[in-house]
Amino acid sequence: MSDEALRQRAVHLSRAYGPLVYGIARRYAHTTADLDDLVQDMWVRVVEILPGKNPASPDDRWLCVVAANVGFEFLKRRRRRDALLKLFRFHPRETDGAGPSPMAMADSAASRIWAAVDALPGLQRQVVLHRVIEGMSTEETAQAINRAEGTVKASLHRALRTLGAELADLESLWSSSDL
Amino acid sequence: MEEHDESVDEQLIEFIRREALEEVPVPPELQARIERRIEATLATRHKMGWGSTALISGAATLALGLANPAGFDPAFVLLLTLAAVVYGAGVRQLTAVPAPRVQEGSA
Repeated sequence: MSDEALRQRAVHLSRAYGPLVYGIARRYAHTTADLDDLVQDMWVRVVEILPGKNPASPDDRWLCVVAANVGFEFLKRRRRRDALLKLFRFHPRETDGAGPSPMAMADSAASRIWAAVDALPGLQRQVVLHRVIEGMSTEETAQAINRAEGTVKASLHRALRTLGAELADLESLWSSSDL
Repeated sequence: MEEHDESVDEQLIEFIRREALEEVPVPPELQARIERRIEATLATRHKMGWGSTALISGAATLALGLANPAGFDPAFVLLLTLAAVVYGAGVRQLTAVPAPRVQEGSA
């Protein structure tokens, strides 16, 4: 893909699916400035890995996975920074990142889902992102994360158990009662 | 029982797929900054200029040549130069850096 084609495709995606990526970024950013930087970082990552995107993967779902991964890395960096700053008490008391993200919307189902997904162990989280959010097959997921298909199946099973328990109070929204 | 579990899993998966994607309108000025950042990222992918590439290639050629003083026949020099050019191009590619963030209010 030439740079110009890549630019056009990335700009098109940012216009078509910007609100989706922005919605995910808001779950990880603590301040408006953070949100601004994070959204830009998400689109830079998109530009970097777009040439290697699996064409079978739907654009919107693929973007969600990319955005969630960039957001999660951002959150981990921020936690490490906050822990370090806490260690050195003499830092200025500008703890705009403390506590749950104020940018995230109210306690919506989407917020609950992302919080539960981000709390999963690393491998399970990756499997859920690819299998559930992106909609990849077990085989494609195994290739994407470089693991055996059995590992993917087992991880998904364990992740769904955890997510089911975390979202148990929303069960009326996803579990039909005629079972 | 296993069928029941699978059915519940499917419903949970469907629920997550349906509910996880939530759209929030992007402020127009942020959208403009995103597009500028995308363009800046692509424009600065090759950060190192050809001058620096040539310099590195030349230095590599000299270093390799000096390390093999007995091997200075024309074919060897040509091979060495080719290897150094490839090396320089590789360094040039590897030193590409992401574009700086586009700040609020910047043109």
